[in-house]
Amino acid sequence: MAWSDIVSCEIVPAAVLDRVGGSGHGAVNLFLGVVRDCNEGKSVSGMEYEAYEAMAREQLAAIASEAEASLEGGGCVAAVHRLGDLKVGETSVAVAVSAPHRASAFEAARGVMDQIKARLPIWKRERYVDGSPEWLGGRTPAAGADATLVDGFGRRIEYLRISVTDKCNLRCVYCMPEEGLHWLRRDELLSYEEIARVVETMAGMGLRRLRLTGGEPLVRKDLDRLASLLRAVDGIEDIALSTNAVLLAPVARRLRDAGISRINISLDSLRPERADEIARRPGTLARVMEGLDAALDAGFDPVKINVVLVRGVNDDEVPAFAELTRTRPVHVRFIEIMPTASNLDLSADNFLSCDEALAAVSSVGELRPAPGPPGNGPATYFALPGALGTIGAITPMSHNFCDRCNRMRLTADGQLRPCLFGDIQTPLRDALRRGEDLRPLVEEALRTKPERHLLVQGSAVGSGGLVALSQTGG
Amino acid sequence: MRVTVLLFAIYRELAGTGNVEVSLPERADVRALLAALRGHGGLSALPADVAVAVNRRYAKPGTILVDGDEVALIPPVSGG
Repeated sequence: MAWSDIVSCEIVPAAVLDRVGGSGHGAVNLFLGVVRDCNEGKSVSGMEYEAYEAMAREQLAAIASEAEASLEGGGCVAAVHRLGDLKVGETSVAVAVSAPHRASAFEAARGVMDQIKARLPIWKRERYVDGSPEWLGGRTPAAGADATLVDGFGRRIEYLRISVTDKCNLRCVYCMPEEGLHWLRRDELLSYEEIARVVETMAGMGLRRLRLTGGEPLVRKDLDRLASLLRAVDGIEDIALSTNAVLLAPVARRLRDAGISRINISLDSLRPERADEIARRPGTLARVMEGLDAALDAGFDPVKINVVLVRGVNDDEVPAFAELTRTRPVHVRFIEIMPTASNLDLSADNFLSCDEALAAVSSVGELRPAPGPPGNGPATYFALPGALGTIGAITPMSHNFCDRCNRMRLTADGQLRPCLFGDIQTPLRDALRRGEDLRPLVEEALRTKPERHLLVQGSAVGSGGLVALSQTGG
Repeated sequence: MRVTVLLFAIYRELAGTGNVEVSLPERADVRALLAALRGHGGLSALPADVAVAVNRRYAKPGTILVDGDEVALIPPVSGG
């Protein structure tokens, strides 16, 4: 993996060289940029480097990994830039490349320096032997110089939902038929390493936050290993998990330690028999509550509970869910049901709007608008007086929120989907397995992201493209 | 919404500060932000093609800003 750093101490060339090399690498190239003693006829006594450091770190990491990915036959790239006051003769930048042959090693080192000059947010001021210091003229970075993930409607895509499996241990009536679905074969699933490569590519383009979903993500083995791989990717700030929490209690601590910081739990009833009936599995509620408490103990923050509202199923439990926020620091979010391939037998009569649910909460206390937990979601939040948690409303049907959409989805079999609904998708798996550059495919997916989905209450049936949400990660 | 804009190097010196706060309507884009910034004393002479970073990526004029974005003006870069 490429290595890069921004430092304020001396650059030691041998230490940079140590970052590259390999048994098949017959060429190792080291470039040093050094402060010189004159510029345009003036005697220079030194140089001062200033940076937008957080951005410079990310840009240099992206530059190095792009260069490494472009090396034919493999290779390693390391790059480091120094900041602060430098004297004549001191090294300001070092780039090392190792590759099977010299041509690609030279080319890659030159490419890294060209990109540093074109887009690394660092500025230098020359100090002269006679006269006051001056900022040097430079190059204006082009918009999109770093292939930012912006779609055709100006929306920035910083959030990827990753479905790690299409399988689930429950059979919730609104989500999945009792007999299950036609599951993907093991070799059709992306491996954890393949998922990490997709995330690495997209992080280099501006991706910042991830959510692991399913199916039920915890039915896939060693999910903490995937979390560790993703946490190590430069630019990724935050990883969240969506789960039914049935399998959560024994692994909560391990997942938190691996770098997952927040958790969403799906729960549709607080009555044991009813929860089992919805999930079509016995003993569901007790295990979910165990998982919920394990999540709070392990320090996940925030912990959100997602409640899909269905009239005639759980509409009478809205106040009970609201009461949960009094005793636990959880964020209960009511979600309007969306028509999908597996729940079309629910009629329009079963639709319950969030507005109606929030009105029902007022029977247990007065709701006031509240700042929600920090997050990526489209919910609006309220709180009961003195409560530890909040109550949120997610209204895909009654208030369309496409104009704030900041996300794409990666399916378990490696399709990049720019919109939850509709059948637009870009397959990444074959390109991944051929070792190809994924960026052109990601850009294609971005271009095809529609302005809004066609799912409007009552007219979705027959519009085509309705999929089971368990296959797309919800 | 209020957006804080970070300033570096020559722009920091022109404005006399490392960051300025700008009030913008919801869903304003980068173009609108620049128009507002040109009304700020020292920044009236910003070049037409000034580079803007949003959340540490180079943005386009049509990139839409949202509350909480980290926005920065990027003077012509001269690293190396």
